[in-house]
Amino acid sequence: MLDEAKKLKREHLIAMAQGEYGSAYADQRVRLGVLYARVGLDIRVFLGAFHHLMRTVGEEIMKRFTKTPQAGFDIFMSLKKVAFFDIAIIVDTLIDERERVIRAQQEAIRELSTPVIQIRDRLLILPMIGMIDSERALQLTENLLQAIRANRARVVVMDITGVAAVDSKVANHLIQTVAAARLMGATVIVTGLSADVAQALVALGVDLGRINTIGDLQGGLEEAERLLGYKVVPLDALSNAHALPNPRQSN
Amino acid sequence: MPVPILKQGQMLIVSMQASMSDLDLVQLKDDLADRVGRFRSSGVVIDVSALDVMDSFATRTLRGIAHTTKLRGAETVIVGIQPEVAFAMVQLGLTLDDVGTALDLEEGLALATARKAEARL
Repeated sequence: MLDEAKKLKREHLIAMAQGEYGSAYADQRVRLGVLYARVGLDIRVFLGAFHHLMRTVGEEIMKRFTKTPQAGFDIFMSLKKVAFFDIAIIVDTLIDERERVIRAQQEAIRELSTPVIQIRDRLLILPMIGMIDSERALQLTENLLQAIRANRARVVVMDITGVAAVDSKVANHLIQTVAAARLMGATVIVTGLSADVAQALVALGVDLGRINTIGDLQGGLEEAERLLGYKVVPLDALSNAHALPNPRQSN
Repeated sequence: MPVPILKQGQMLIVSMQASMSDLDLVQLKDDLADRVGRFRSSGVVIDVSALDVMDSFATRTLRGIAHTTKLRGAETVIVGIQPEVAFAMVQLGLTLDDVGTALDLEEGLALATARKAEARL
């Protein structure tokens, strides 16, 4: 890779002085930029190195034009114009590569963080994680509604512990999701509203009065089980209540 | 085309068709108001799973039916709203807040029965 970079750079320097700045020239700059991005070259390092290069070239030019400094300066200025053009292309490429990585990561987060899980017969849980924007909100709602039909869910626990910030848009979306789930005959319990989120919602004046909210996921699950008619009892209590023989004592 | 209203014990069951006109809806509303009293029904279950669109008129009529039958002593439950329909309705602000909803006919019958039992207590 280093050899390739050296080769591209040499070609670059030769091309810079040849006076031909068409699309082939720009393509070569983009290739170099992609290579820089792949090795994770920082933009600051690149600019520093380029500055150093220009200074060396400039000094070399001025040495040869000691008698006519004005002519030397003019030549250096035309070179500089090309240099700025190069910098623009390469920085653009570096930024674009970085944005591409960010987009890929966002996509990964999006795919990872919209699971709808069935944890009991007719009970779904929807853990929401990360930033919720309109697009994701839409996807979440669609996933949930499809899952309600597919699993014949009657209760859904929506946990927003992992949601960093809740603004009026997200809150509005929550209300819509709850209303849509209700139309399909499912009850939604929202859990995991942190102190900050709760205060922010009150400050925003969002009316969550019609939404069933419970402090934490545990409370939400307990409430859901109650709605479905389940009761979770420790095995010990069960065996004592029915005086079941302990298998260890039976012989 | 009038919508058939089926009687099953204490319940009335209506299955809405995809090709219903506004006139059919109004007709259904009148018929149900009449039958609930005639059969002394305790619940009405309206299945809308065949509908892939629910406009504001249909929603308003359904709410009207629910309120009317309630006054005549029967609980109305709407069942089978499709995911896409539910989402579209919510975006239009049609949330049927005061009407019972359930996933399908079976659930709806159970809900209507439970609600009636609750009301008798």
